[in-house]
Amino acid sequence: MQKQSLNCADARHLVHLAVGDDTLPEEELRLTDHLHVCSDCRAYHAGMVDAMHVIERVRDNDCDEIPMGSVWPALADKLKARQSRVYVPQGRRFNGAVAALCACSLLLAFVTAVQNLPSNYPDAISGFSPVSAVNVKLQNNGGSAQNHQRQLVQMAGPNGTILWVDPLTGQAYVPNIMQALDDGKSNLNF
Amino acid sequence: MLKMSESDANFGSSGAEMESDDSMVSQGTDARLVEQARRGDTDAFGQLAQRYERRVIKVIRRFMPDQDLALDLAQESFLKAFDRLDQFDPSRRFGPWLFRIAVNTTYDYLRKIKRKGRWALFSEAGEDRVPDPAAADPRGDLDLSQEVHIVLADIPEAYRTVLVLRDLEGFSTSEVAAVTERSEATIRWRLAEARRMFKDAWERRDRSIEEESLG
Repeated sequence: MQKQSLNCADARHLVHLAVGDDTLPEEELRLTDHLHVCSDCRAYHAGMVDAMHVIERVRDNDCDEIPMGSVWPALADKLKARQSRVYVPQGRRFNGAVAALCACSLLLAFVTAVQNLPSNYPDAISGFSPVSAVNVKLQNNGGSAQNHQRQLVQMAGPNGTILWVDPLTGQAYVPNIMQALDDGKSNLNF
Repeated sequence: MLKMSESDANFGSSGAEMESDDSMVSQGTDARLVEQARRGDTDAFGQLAQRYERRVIKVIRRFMPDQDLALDLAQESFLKAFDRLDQFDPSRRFGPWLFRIAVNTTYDYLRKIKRKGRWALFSEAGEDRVPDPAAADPRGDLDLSQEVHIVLADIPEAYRTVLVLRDLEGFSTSEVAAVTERSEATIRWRLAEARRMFKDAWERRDRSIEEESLG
């Protein structure tokens, strides 16, 4: 029977096994034949044998005596201690970590929502309290009305002072005259 | 080169250890002890633990050289085994199942250490990277076993496990296959690759030492 020749890659794979006697007899023969004709693989085999000698030395030297009974006495105590404990069904145990995670998530959502609320009343008018909201058309003292309408909040101060505050911008207005319009809205002069 | 016992109690052990364990083998087969332990007989489990503890500690120490830690991990492995006895398939051998738990427990611990190091608020890595030029080369103090352990640590787990069990602990390829729950063909492939990786890493280490001594 014609023997199939080995290439170097296959031969080196067998070299890795042969150094630990892990080749089959037929593989051993094919490898031996290849090593006879391939000097590179012979050198590789020698290097592999050296590496295995290192492992064998460690295997043979690491013979620290591990005394009998190193584990069992302590292990027996643990098993006895566990057996004397009250049985708690594993499937129904409360998981505090999940509850804590849920609580943190809710708190974070709440804080985020509160931070995103518009600031209705600026610090400058602290002491004033809101009375009512009204839609107004702003007009300066020259009489020219601005084109846009605003919703302002009427704020009453402690001494009866009245301010009109734009909750979007936080700007406070002191009106001179308020004029009622036909459509139920007010016109303010400043 | 490495002749292994087929006895469960001497799984992967050398001949000398087999003789010293003979008296224990007579106390009963693994299967009978496992069956008793499953019914809550802790003494039966104790016999199993005493039968395997030295081998388990030895295997763990191949991955975790610290003796105290290895003892803790061995204890944890036996506790896990006791808790999972109802998952053990009695038609199979107890040894490979136990060693699988021990190896996985050890890897879990090593991964935990690695993760802790990665997420630690304060790391000493920067100090390690700048060696004191006045200090002697610390590698001079390392013995061969420690150096091999350092080189092995860089080999991927799947390959390292096979190399350690086969070449350092003397398990047969079929025993390694049983521990890792892989086919023997896969184990042979991984063993070849693991030895190649070890050879390459060891030669790189040799070259760097040579370069340092010349430069």
